[in-house]
This record gives sequence, structure tokens and C-alpha cells, in this order.
Amino acid sequence: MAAVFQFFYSSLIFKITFPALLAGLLLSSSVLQASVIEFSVDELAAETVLPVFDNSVSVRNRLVTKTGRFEVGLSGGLSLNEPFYGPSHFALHGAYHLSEVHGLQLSHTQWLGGLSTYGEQLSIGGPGGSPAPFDPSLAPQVEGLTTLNYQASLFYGKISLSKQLVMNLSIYGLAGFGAVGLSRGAGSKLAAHAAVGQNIFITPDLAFKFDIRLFSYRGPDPTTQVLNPSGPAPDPSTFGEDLYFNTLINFGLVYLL
Amino acid sequence: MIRRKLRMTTLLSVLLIGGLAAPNSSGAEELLVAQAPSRPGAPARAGAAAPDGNNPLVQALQMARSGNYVEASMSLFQLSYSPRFRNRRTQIRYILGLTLFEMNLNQVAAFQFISVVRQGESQYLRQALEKLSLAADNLGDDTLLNYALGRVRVDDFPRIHRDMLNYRIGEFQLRNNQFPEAARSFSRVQRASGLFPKAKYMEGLALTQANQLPRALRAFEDLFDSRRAFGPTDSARVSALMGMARVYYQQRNWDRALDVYRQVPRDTEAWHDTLFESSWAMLRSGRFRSALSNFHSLHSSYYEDFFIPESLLLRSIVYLYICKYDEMEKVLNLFNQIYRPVYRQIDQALNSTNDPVVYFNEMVRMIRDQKLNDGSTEETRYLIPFLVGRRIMKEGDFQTSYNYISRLLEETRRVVEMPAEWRQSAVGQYAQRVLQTRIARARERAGRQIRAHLESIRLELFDLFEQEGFIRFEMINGKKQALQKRIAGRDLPQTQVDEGTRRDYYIQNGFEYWPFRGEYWLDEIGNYHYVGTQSCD
Repeated sequence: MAAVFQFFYSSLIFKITFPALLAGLLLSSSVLQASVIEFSVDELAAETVLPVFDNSVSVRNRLVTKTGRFEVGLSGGLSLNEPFYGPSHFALHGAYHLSEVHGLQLSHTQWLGGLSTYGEQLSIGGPGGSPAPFDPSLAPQVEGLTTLNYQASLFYGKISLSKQLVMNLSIYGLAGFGAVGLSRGAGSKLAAHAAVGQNIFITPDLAFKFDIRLFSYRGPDPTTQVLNPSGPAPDPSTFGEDLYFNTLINFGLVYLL
Repeated sequence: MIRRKLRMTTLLSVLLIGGLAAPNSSGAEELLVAQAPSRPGAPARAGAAAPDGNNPLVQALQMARSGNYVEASMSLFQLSYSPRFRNRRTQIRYILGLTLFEMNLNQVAAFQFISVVRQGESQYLRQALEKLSLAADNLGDDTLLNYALGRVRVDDFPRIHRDMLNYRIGEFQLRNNQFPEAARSFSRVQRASGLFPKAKYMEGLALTQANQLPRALRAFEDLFDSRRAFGPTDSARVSALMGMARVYYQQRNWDRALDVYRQVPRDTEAWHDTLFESSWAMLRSGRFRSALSNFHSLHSSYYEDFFIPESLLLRSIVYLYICKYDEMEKVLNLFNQIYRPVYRQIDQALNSTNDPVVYFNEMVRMIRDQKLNDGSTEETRYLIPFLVGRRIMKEGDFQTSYNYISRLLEETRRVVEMPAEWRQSAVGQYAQRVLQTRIARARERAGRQIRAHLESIRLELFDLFEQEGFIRFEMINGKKQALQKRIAGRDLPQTQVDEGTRRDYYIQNGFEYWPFRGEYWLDEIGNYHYVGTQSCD
């Protein structure tokens, strides 16, 4: 049996639309042959106010429900402000949603290692390279970040990418603490972590994920030592320390169990 | 300040009329002297006021005049039972009533005024009736109002309170189905009065019930025009719109009715009623798609606490008209799924007890839970189904009783906050007793009203179940005919715009399209549009 109803409405809040994408889809041949359904303008929405109910919640019968559900996710991304080391990383996370808003999340991010383009250039001495070679790989670098976070799913909405494809979205914030693991036996350091992200649900259980994360820790500063590529790696304890604020951007998938 | 002055002037005038002004008031003293024993040397008659300040009545009146109502009421109450002042009992009770009225103890004061009225003709009768009407108006108690209004003459009433009196008389007449008389009383309420919007609406209502539709329409239009400056969501303006739409509907002017229904802003309580009422107008004017659009909002989970069984049957009838038998069956099943348990629960509630207070307490629990939980009562079980309780909460008679009980409880709180000396005095004990009795009786009355509504709803549901049976029969009949047509090859093509997964239609340019996927959004309510077609000619 086909769908019971097909309804449409014109909406001003809660939802986002992409007219450009929509226009493209409208030009498909099947649409050009379509029948036109016209509504009396009198019957179309003319107000931007909301109806008054005793218990005015924004949405009922949510398609995506989170309360009491576990969430797992896999994502990959880049560090945005890392000068010396490889920015690529992948992340895994698991979360439990206490309610539609509140949840707890455990997350681990693992860097793929290596040096950034700038790091490579600095480490190469001579023509085309740095006049004074500086090899950051000889200093301890962040290998992984593990954090326990509080997650607040602050916004639930839906997005129309075409007149046929409507997806739910959820915007969330994260804040927590954890530790960064350092290479070269430098141990681990306490880290603070915060993020904002958005899930765009393809189905009620599966979503694309996009987030921007900020983590901060006090760790060894490579520039406090002479890091000659041909020389030995200094002892990690000899590095001076600095406070770092790193920004990461991540894309991935989330599945609600 | 002006009010206090007026009240004090009233009190003073009473004292003067009664010849009991304070001795130091020269004009009043003449009156006192005139009433003093005429024979020199003769013993003072019981009840006659002595010209000196040792007379307890004079002292009580002095206290009242100086605004010491607490002391005055204690003293006056005792004097009202004193054999010495037997002849002045009516006067004392009236002044005691005034004193208690000043203390904002309307119910206790009303009892004093009633006792004055019961005494029959006296110089205080007219004033006591006036004050009784005011106290009853403050309390919102129908019984007291009816008692006072049955005896009062409008022309004797002070001009300042005459609008209230006309309004209350109109209400009384409306309750007794005296529609033209009620309309007349309501029309006497002055435009400048705060009661004008309510009175004008009631006038329109009375005229509608008297089937004087053009006059009713004029009354609603007058109200609408008078509220132009108060913004679109002004409740009186919205009520006027609802009134106009209902009159147009009654005149079978569907288009005009729909046009007015659409003017009701959706951020008002009345808008929910327009969804259902306008659906009737749509059905009557053959706009099935529009009616179905409304029903989609009305049967969303936002309305799960609303008692609207008729709307489901109406929706099934629309489906019958467009031969959507599968949808029709779903709606009829939904009707049974929701309202059969409701019927059973009402039946159980009515059979479980005859004690009206049980119903009232249950209703209070519902109201309290609703307030505490921000309108949500999902996880609570009540003796009465919540959606039925919610409807009864909005019934006029129950609201009047509930508000009266609330005012009595406020008055009880005021009594409790009085000085201990007053509470323990005879008048204090009396006030507490009066209030306790009145609260108990009002609760019983409200409980009886709830029970009566439950009985009426049970009957209504019973009728609707019968109608559901007829509609189901029509559905089966329609299905049979459709099958016969299909066998004969005379049915409509199978492909319907709402049956394909492909989107083979598009919406006018300039409008957004969001297919319904099962979840309801607050900003979508009222904006759904059915885009299916009919399945028969």
C-alpha cells in the first residue's frame, strides 16, 4: 500500500532548505511532465506564529529518537592549526543518550603520525629547505587523544535537500576531559576538550557526522631544543612546556543502536 | 484611594441614617439625641444608643469609621446577638456585613447581607441587596447572584455598578433560555464598561440562540470593531471572529464562514476550534481536500489530549465521499482504539462511586499535575480519562464552581492570616465555619457537575459508536461497489498521485514542499495540505 498521506507545508523555522539544489532537481524530465497541484492562496500559511498548546514542544513523534540508545561513530579529519606534525587523524566514539538532550560520550582520536608539509620543509636543510635544519620528529608529539565528554544535543530539526529528500539533523555540543598520549616515551598529559557538531540523519539510525573540536593541553614545545636532523633525539624531559590549543575538523558516520 | 473614600462615605451614610454617628459629629449628634429616651429620668430602652462613648455600639461604629475593621467586626458580631440591641439587629448585621466586605471577606459578608434581606422590608434592604450583589460578583457564585438578582431592582442600583448588574442579569436569563431578554440585558452594558466586550459577545450569543442571526452578526461585528486597537490576539476580538464565523455557518454561507475562520490567529486558544469547525464548513461546501488537510493537523499527536471523537467520524465521511475506503477503515479503527477505552473508563468512573467529592478531587489532581508538569500528564492514571477531564475543565459551569472554590480558599487564607485574637473571637470562629461549609458544599456541587458531564459524554460517545456502525456499513457497501466496478472494468485507473514513490507532481513556484514523514512539527500544525486525489467519480 502506498503512503497514507502526502502533505506539504510552507515553513519558516526549524528547517533549512537549499533552493539551488531544489531548482536542479526540478528540471528533471519526470517533473516537467508532472501534473500541477494548485492550492488556493487563502489556504496557504499566512502567519509566522505558532499554535498554543498546554505543552508546547517543537516536535512530536520524532523520527530520530535518542533516549536510552547507544551511539557509535567513526570519523576522520584534519588538525587545522598544527604547524609541524601530520594533521590527519581518525576518531572513534561511543555514546549513551540519557535523554533526547543529555548524553555521555567516550571518544578516542588517533593521529596517523609523520610531519606536516611545513615540518618536512623545516627538517630539510640546504637548497630548497631550511637554512638551519629543524626536525620536529625528534620531539615528542601527540599520538592520541582520549576524552570522556558530556554531550548536549541542543537542536533537532530537519533539512530539505530536494523536494523528495528530507533529512533530520541534530546539532550537539561536547565538553569533557581526558588525556593526550605523547610519543618518544613522554607519557600522557591532561587535556580539556570541547566540540560542536552536527549529525545529518540519512535514516532514523544512520547519520553523517561533522564536527569541529578544540582540545587543549600543556605539553613539550619542540622549539625549546635544537632538533638537528642528524643529531640524537633529546630527552623528552628536557623540553620546555607550553599550553596548546588545537582545532580539529572531522567527518564521519554515526549509528544509533 | 477613591474607592476607600467612597466606601467610607457609604459606611458613614449608613451610620447617619441609622442615627448612630459618633457623638463628636455635630449633625449626627442631633440624630442621636432625637433617638435618645424621650422621658427625662426614664431608664434607657434596650437597643437605644446612649449619647456617650461607653455605648458598645457607638464604640464599634467609631472603630469601623476609623478603619479598624478587625476590632469593629468582633464587636459588631457580638452585638448582633445581644438582646440589648435586638431592635437594631438588622442595622448591626448590615454594618457588620460592610465591615467584613471591607476586610475582603466576601462570603462571610454576604451571609450578613442575606440575613438583612431575609428580615424583609427595612431601610437596609436595598443597600444590602446591592452589597450582596457586589460580594456575589466578587465571589462569582451563581447561587448567591441568583438570590440577589431575583430581588434587586436595576433602577435602585447605583449607576456605577449597574453594568455589572445588567451583565449578571443577562447571564441569569441566558441560563434560563430567555434569549431575547438576555440579549436586551447584555445590550444595556455601557460601551465604557470593562464588561462591555463580554456583554457584547454574550448578546451575540443570545441572539444566535434566539435565531436572530442578522442581529447576532451585527453584535459580533460591533465587538470586533470595538477591539481593533487591541491587537490580533485580543481574546474579545477573537471571540467576535468566532461568533461571526459561526453565524455565517448557521446561515449556510460556507465561504464567508471559512473566510472568517481563517482570520483567527493561530497563536490563540480559539484557533484549535476553528480547525474542526472550518472542516465542517469545508465538507458542506464540497472542499474535501481542504477538510482532509485540516484533519491531518487535528489528528496529530499534538491533539492527543483533546476530546474530538466527532472529528474522526467526520474524516471517515470525507474519505467515504472520495472512495478512500482503506483510509476510512484506518480512521474508524483509530476512533474505536481511542474512544472505546475512554467510554469504558467513564463507565467505570460513574459506576465506581456516587460521591461527587471524589470526582472533584480527581479533577483538581489533574489540573494541578497539568500545571506542575507544564501541560504534560502522560504517565499519570486518573479515575477520569485525561482527555475527558480536560474537556470538563473548560466547561463554563465547572469553571465557575472551580473559580468560586478558589476564591473561598483565598478567603480562608485571609482568615488564617488575621490576628489570633480575631480568629479566636466569635466572628472569627463563625467565619471559619461558614467558609468550611461553603467550600464543602461547593466541592460537592462541582463534583455533581463533573458527574453530569461524564454522563453526558458517555451518552454522546454511545451515540457516536452507533454512528460509527452506520459509517462502517457504508464503507463496506462502498467497497463492494468498487469491487463490482473493477470486475466490470469501470473503475478509475490504479495509478494515483499519492500512490507512486516517484514524485510526479510539483507545487506552485514560490512554495516549499516538505513531504510528511510521520513526525509532527509545531510550526507545521495547520499547514498540512492533502495532495491525494479521489478514487471515484
